[in-house]
Amino acid sequence: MTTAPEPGTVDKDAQLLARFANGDQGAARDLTDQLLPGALRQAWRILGDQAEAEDVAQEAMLRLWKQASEWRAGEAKISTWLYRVVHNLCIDRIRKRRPQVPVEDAPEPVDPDPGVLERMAETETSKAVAAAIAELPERQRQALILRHFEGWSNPQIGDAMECSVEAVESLLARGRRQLAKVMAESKEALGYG
Amino acid sequence: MAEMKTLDMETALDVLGREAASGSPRPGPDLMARVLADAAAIGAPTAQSFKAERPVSAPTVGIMDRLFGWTGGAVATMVICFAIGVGVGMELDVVSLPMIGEPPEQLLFAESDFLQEEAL
Repeated sequence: MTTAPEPGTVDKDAQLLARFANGDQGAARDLTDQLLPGALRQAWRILGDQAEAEDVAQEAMLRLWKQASEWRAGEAKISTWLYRVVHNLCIDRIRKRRPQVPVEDAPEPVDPDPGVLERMAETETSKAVAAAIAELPERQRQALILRHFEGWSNPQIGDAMECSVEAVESLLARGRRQLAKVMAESKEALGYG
Repeated sequence: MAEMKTLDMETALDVLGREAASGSPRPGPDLMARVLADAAAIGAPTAQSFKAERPVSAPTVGIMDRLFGWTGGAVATMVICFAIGVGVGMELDVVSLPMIGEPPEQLLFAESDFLQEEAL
Protein backbone atom coordinates (compact mmCIF):
# COMPACT_ATOMS: atom_id res chain seq x y z
CA MET A 1 0.00 0.00 0.00
CA THR A 2 1.28 3.41 -0.88
CA THR A 3 -0.16 6.66 0.38
CA ALA A 4 0.55 9.48 -1.98
CA PRO A 5 1.02 12.99 -0.63
CA GLU A 6 -2.32 14.74 -0.14
CA PRO A 7 -3.60 16.44 -3.30
CA GLY A 8 -2.69 20.10 -3.45
CA THR A 9 0.16 19.76 -0.99
CA VAL A 10 3.68 20.28 -2.18
CA ASP A 11 6.04 17.47 -1.26
CA LYS A 12 9.13 19.49 -0.47
CA ASP A 13 11.34 16.40 -0.13
CA ALA A 14 10.36 15.22 -3.61
CA GLN A 15 11.16 18.64 -5.03
CA LEU A 16 14.55 18.60 -3.35
CA LEU A 17 15.23 15.10 -4.66
CA ALA A 18 14.34 16.20 -8.19
CA ARG A 19 16.74 19.13 -7.85
CA PHE A 20 19.45 16.75 -6.64
CA ALA A 21 18.82 14.48 -9.63
CA ASN A 22 19.50 17.51 -11.82
CA GLY A 23 22.89 18.01 -10.19
CA ASP A 24 22.01 20.46 -7.37
CA GLN A 25 24.26 19.50 -4.44
CA GLY A 26 22.63 22.17 -2.25
CA ALA A 27 19.43 20.14 -2.45
CA ALA A 28 21.34 17.11 -1.17
CA ARG A 29 22.41 19.11 1.87
CA ASP A 30 18.84 20.28 2.55
CA LEU A 31 17.51 16.72 2.19
CA THR A 32 20.21 15.41 4.52
CA ASP A 33 19.31 18.02 7.14
CA GLN A 34 15.67 17.05 6.76
CA LEU A 35 15.85 13.26 6.72
CA LEU A 36 19.08 12.06 8.31
CA PRO A 37 18.18 12.81 11.97
CA GLY A 38 15.00 10.72 11.75
CA ALA A 39 16.76 7.86 9.99
CA LEU A 40 19.52 7.84 12.61
CA ARG A 41 17.00 7.99 15.48
CA GLN A 42 15.00 5.10 14.05
CA ALA A 43 18.09 2.94 13.47
CA TRP A 44 19.38 3.68 16.95
CA ARG A 45 16.06 2.74 18.55
CA ILE A 46 16.15 -0.61 16.78
CA LEU A 47 19.84 -1.45 17.02
CA GLY A 48 20.82 0.31 20.26
CA ASP A 49 24.31 0.98 18.94
CA GLN A 50 25.27 4.40 17.65
CA ALA A 51 28.05 3.35 15.25
CA GLU A 52 25.83 0.72 13.64
CA ALA A 53 22.92 3.15 13.50
CA GLU A 54 25.12 5.70 11.73
CA ASP A 55 26.18 3.08 9.16
CA VAL A 56 22.56 2.16 8.52
CA ALA A 57 21.48 5.80 8.20
CA GLN A 58 24.31 6.46 5.75
CA GLU A 59 23.44 3.37 3.69
CA ALA A 60 19.76 4.38 3.60
CA MET A 61 20.65 7.87 2.38
CA LEU A 62 22.97 6.37 -0.24
CA ARG A 63 20.05 4.32 -1.56
CA LEU A 64 18.00 7.50 -1.72
CA TRP A 65 20.68 9.25 -3.80
CA LYS A 66 20.82 6.27 -6.15
CA GLN A 67 17.03 6.31 -6.45
CA ALA A 68 16.86 10.05 -7.18
CA SER A 69 16.86 9.94 -10.98
CA GLU A 70 14.14 7.26 -11.02
CA TRP A 71 11.97 8.70 -8.24
CA ARG A 72 8.38 9.20 -9.34
CA ALA A 73 7.01 12.20 -7.48
CA GLY A 74 3.48 11.92 -6.14
CA GLU A 75 3.52 8.15 -5.64
CA ALA A 76 4.96 7.97 -2.12
CA LYS A 77 6.47 10.19 0.50
CA ILE A 78 10.23 10.04 0.72
CA SER A 79 10.21 9.97 4.53
CA THR A 80 8.06 6.83 4.62
CA TRP A 81 10.13 5.17 1.87
CA LEU A 82 13.26 5.93 3.88
CA TYR A 83 11.64 4.53 7.03
CA ARG A 84 11.08 1.20 5.30
CA VAL A 85 14.65 1.13 3.97
CA VAL A 86 16.08 1.81 7.44
CA HIS A 87 13.81 -0.82 8.98
CA ASN A 88 14.90 -3.46 6.47
CA LEU A 89 18.58 -2.60 6.85
CA CYS A 90 18.23 -2.93 10.63
CA ILE A 91 16.57 -6.34 10.23
CA ASP A 92 19.50 -7.46 8.08
CA ARG A 93 21.97 -6.24 10.72
CA ILE A 94 20.19 -8.03 13.54
CA ARG A 95 20.09 -11.25 11.54
CA LYS A 96 23.81 -10.99 10.84
CA ARG A 97 24.48 -10.63 14.56
CA ARG A 98 23.18 -14.16 15.06
CA PRO A 99 24.77 -16.17 12.27
CA GLN A 100 23.99 -19.48 13.96
CA VAL A 101 20.25 -18.90 13.52
CA PRO A 102 18.92 -19.61 10.00
CA VAL A 103 17.55 -16.43 8.38
CA GLU A 104 14.03 -17.82 8.11
CA ASP A 105 14.02 -18.70 11.82
CA ALA A 106 15.37 -15.35 13.02
CA PRO A 107 12.72 -13.44 14.97
CA GLU A 108 11.36 -10.19 13.62
CA PRO A 109 13.31 -7.43 15.39
CA VAL A 110 11.34 -5.23 17.70
CA ASP A 111 11.03 -1.48 17.20
CA PRO A 112 12.18 -0.09 19.51
CA ASP A 113 14.67 -2.11 21.47
CA PRO A 114 13.08 -1.84 24.95
CA GLY A 115 16.44 -1.33 26.57
CA VAL A 116 17.14 1.65 24.39
CA LEU A 117 13.78 3.25 25.19
CA GLU A 118 14.23 2.82 28.90
CA ARG A 119 17.70 4.35 28.70
CA MET A 120 16.21 7.38 26.97
CA ALA A 121 13.41 7.83 29.52
CA GLU A 122 14.19 10.49 32.12
CA THR A 123 11.35 10.24 34.61
CA GLU A 124 10.06 7.22 36.48
CA THR A 125 6.73 7.44 34.69
CA SER A 126 8.47 7.48 31.33
CA LYS A 127 10.59 4.49 32.30
CA ALA A 128 7.42 2.63 33.27
CA VAL A 129 5.80 3.58 29.95
CA ALA A 130 8.91 2.46 28.07
CA ALA A 131 8.84 -0.87 29.88
CA ALA A 132 5.14 -1.22 29.11
CA ILE A 133 5.77 -0.46 25.42
CA ALA A 134 8.18 -3.38 25.36
CA GLU A 135 5.29 -5.67 26.31
CA LEU A 136 3.15 -4.63 23.34
CA PRO A 137 2.78 -6.63 20.13
CA GLU A 138 5.24 -5.46 17.50
CA ARG A 139 2.73 -3.73 15.18
CA GLN A 140 1.07 -1.78 18.00
CA ARG A 141 4.45 -0.72 19.32
CA GLN A 142 5.59 0.42 15.87
CA ALA A 143 2.43 2.48 15.32
CA LEU A 144 2.69 4.15 18.72
CA ILE A 145 6.36 4.98 18.21
CA LEU A 146 5.73 6.60 14.83
CA ARG A 147 2.75 8.56 16.17
CA HIS A 148 4.19 9.80 19.44
CA PHE A 149 7.95 9.76 18.85
CA GLU A 150 8.15 10.81 15.23
CA GLY A 151 4.92 12.83 15.15
CA TRP A 152 3.72 11.19 11.93
CA SER A 153 0.15 11.40 10.68
CA ASN A 154 -1.96 8.26 10.43
CA PRO A 155 -1.75 8.12 6.59
CA GLN A 156 2.03 8.34 6.84
CA ILE A 157 2.11 5.53 9.39
CA GLY A 158 -0.15 3.45 7.17
CA ASP A 159 2.20 4.04 4.25
CA ALA A 160 5.25 3.03 6.26
CA MET A 161 3.59 -0.02 7.77
CA GLU A 162 1.80 -0.94 4.56
CA CYS A 163 -1.71 -0.92 6.00
CA SER A 164 -4.82 1.26 5.81
CA VAL A 165 -5.46 4.37 7.90
CA GLU A 166 -8.30 2.54 9.65
CA ALA A 167 -5.91 -0.25 10.58
CA VAL A 168 -3.47 2.34 11.99
CA GLU A 169 -6.23 3.91 14.10
CA SER A 170 -7.14 0.48 15.38
CA LEU A 171 -3.51 -0.35 16.21
CA LEU A 172 -3.07 2.96 18.07
CA ALA A 173 -6.29 2.56 20.07
CA ARG A 174 -5.51 -1.03 21.03
CA GLY A 175 -1.92 -0.09 21.85
CA ARG A 176 -2.97 2.72 24.19
CA ARG A 177 -5.54 0.55 25.91
CA GLN A 178 -3.00 -2.23 26.34
CA LEU A 179 -0.44 0.23 27.70
CA ALA A 180 -2.89 1.61 30.22
CA LYS A 181 -3.70 -1.93 31.32
CA VAL A 182 -0.03 -2.93 31.68
CA MET A 183 0.73 0.28 33.57
CA ALA A 184 -2.18 -0.25 35.93
CA GLU A 185 -1.07 -3.83 36.61
CA SER A 186 2.51 -2.78 37.27
CA LYS A 187 1.33 -0.03 39.62
CA GLU A 188 -0.69 -2.54 41.59
CA ALA A 189 2.18 -5.01 41.62
CA LEU A 190 4.63 -2.37 42.85
CA GLY A 191 2.14 -1.03 45.35
CA TYR A 192 1.98 2.57 44.20
CA GLY A 193 -0.59 4.72 42.36
CA MET B 1 -13.00 6.67 32.96
CA ALA B 2 -11.53 4.59 30.15
CA GLU B 3 -11.33 7.71 27.95
CA MET B 4 -9.52 9.56 30.70
CA LYS B 5 -7.02 6.72 31.04
CA THR B 6 -6.42 6.72 27.28
CA LEU B 7 -5.94 10.48 27.36
CA ASP B 8 -3.44 10.20 30.21
CA MET B 9 -1.64 7.48 28.32
CA GLU B 10 -1.45 9.71 25.26
CA THR B 11 0.13 12.46 27.37
CA ALA B 12 2.56 9.99 28.93
CA LEU B 13 3.52 8.75 25.48
CA ASP B 14 4.09 12.29 24.25
CA VAL B 15 6.32 13.00 27.26
CA LEU B 16 8.31 9.83 26.65
CA GLY B 17 8.53 10.74 22.97
CA ARG B 18 10.01 14.14 23.83
CA GLU B 19 12.46 12.59 26.27
CA ALA B 20 13.44 9.96 23.72
CA ALA B 21 13.97 12.62 21.09
CA SER B 22 16.22 14.64 23.38
CA GLY B 23 18.14 11.51 24.38
CA SER B 24 18.60 10.20 20.82
CA PRO B 25 21.88 10.70 18.97
CA ARG B 26 21.98 13.44 16.37
CA PRO B 27 23.99 13.27 13.19
CA GLY B 28 27.45 14.64 13.85
CA PRO B 29 29.61 16.49 11.31
CA ASP B 30 31.42 13.27 10.41
CA LEU B 31 28.22 11.46 9.46
CA MET B 32 26.94 14.52 7.61
CA ALA B 33 30.20 14.67 5.64
CA ARG B 34 30.01 10.97 4.77
CA VAL B 35 26.42 11.27 3.55
CA LEU B 36 27.17 14.40 1.51
CA ALA B 37 30.27 12.77 0.02
CA ASP B 38 28.06 9.87 -1.13
CA ALA B 39 25.64 12.38 -2.61
CA ALA B 40 28.48 14.12 -4.45
CA ALA B 41 29.81 10.81 -5.77
CA ILE B 42 26.36 9.79 -7.03
CA GLY B 43 25.43 13.27 -8.23
CA ALA B 44 28.49 13.79 -10.44
CA PRO B 45 27.86 10.85 -12.81
CA THR B 46 24.17 11.76 -12.85
CA ALA B 47 25.02 15.22 -14.19
CA GLN B 48 27.42 13.75 -16.76
CA SER B 49 24.89 11.21 -17.96
CA PHE B 50 22.33 14.01 -18.22
CA LYS B 51 24.73 15.87 -20.52
CA ALA B 52 25.35 12.72 -22.55
CA GLU B 53 21.62 12.21 -23.00
CA ARG B 54 21.15 15.61 -24.60
CA PRO B 55 20.32 15.35 -28.34
CA VAL B 56 23.52 15.39 -30.32
CA SER B 57 23.52 17.50 -33.49
CA ALA B 58 24.37 15.91 -36.82
CA PRO B 59 28.11 15.50 -37.33
CA THR B 60 29.55 18.44 -39.20
CA VAL B 61 31.61 17.87 -42.34
CA GLY B 62 34.80 19.94 -42.54
CA ILE B 63 36.19 21.59 -45.64
CA MET B 64 38.98 19.00 -45.98
CA ASP B 65 36.45 16.21 -45.90
CA ARG B 66 34.33 17.98 -48.47
CA LEU B 67 37.29 18.48 -50.83
CA PHE B 68 39.22 15.28 -50.45
CA GLY B 69 36.75 12.82 -49.07
CA TRP B 70 35.50 11.43 -52.36
CA THR B 71 38.88 11.62 -54.12
CA GLY B 72 40.50 9.64 -51.34
CA GLY B 73 37.89 6.94 -51.82
CA ALA B 74 38.39 6.92 -55.57
CA VAL B 75 42.18 6.65 -55.27
CA ALA B 76 41.82 3.81 -52.77
CA THR B 77 39.47 1.96 -55.13
CA MET B 78 41.90 2.36 -58.02
CA VAL B 79 44.83 1.12 -55.95
CA ILE B 80 42.86 -1.91 -54.83
CA CYS B 81 41.81 -2.74 -58.40
CA PHE B 82 45.40 -2.34 -59.59
CA ALA B 83 46.66 -4.63 -56.85
CA ILE B 84 44.06 -7.25 -57.73
CA GLY B 85 45.07 -7.00 -61.36
CA VAL B 86 48.77 -7.45 -60.62
CA GLY B 87 48.02 -10.32 -58.30
CA VAL B 88 45.89 -12.12 -60.88
CA GLY B 89 48.50 -11.49 -63.56
CA MET B 90 51.30 -12.93 -61.51
CA GLU B 91 49.30 -16.01 -60.70
CA LEU B 92 48.71 -16.85 -64.37
CA ASP B 93 50.98 -19.50 -66.02
CA VAL B 94 52.54 -17.64 -68.92
CA VAL B 95 53.61 -20.83 -70.75
CA SER B 96 50.05 -22.11 -70.83
CA LEU B 97 49.02 -19.21 -73.06
CA PRO B 98 49.37 -20.50 -76.64
CA MET B 99 49.72 -17.03 -78.11
CA ILE B 100 52.84 -16.33 -76.13
CA GLY B 101 54.40 -19.81 -75.83
CA GLU B 102 53.86 -20.85 -79.47
CA PRO B 103 53.81 -17.95 -81.92
CA PRO B 104 51.56 -18.34 -84.98
CA GLU B 105 53.22 -19.74 -88.07
CA GLN B 106 52.66 -16.54 -90.08
CA LEU B 107 54.79 -14.67 -87.65
CA LEU B 108 57.51 -17.32 -87.89
CA PHE B 109 57.51 -17.06 -91.63
CA ALA B 110 57.65 -13.31 -91.48
CA GLU B 111 60.52 -13.53 -89.11
CA SER B 112 62.44 -15.95 -91.36
CA ASP B 113 61.84 -13.76 -94.39
CA PHE B 114 63.12 -10.81 -92.51
CA LEU B 115 66.26 -12.71 -91.52
CA GLN B 116 66.85 -13.82 -95.04
CA GLU B 117 66.64 -10.25 -96.27
CA GLU B 118 69.08 -9.23 -93.59
CA ALA B 119 71.49 -11.93 -94.78
CA LEU B 120 71.38 -10.68 -98.31
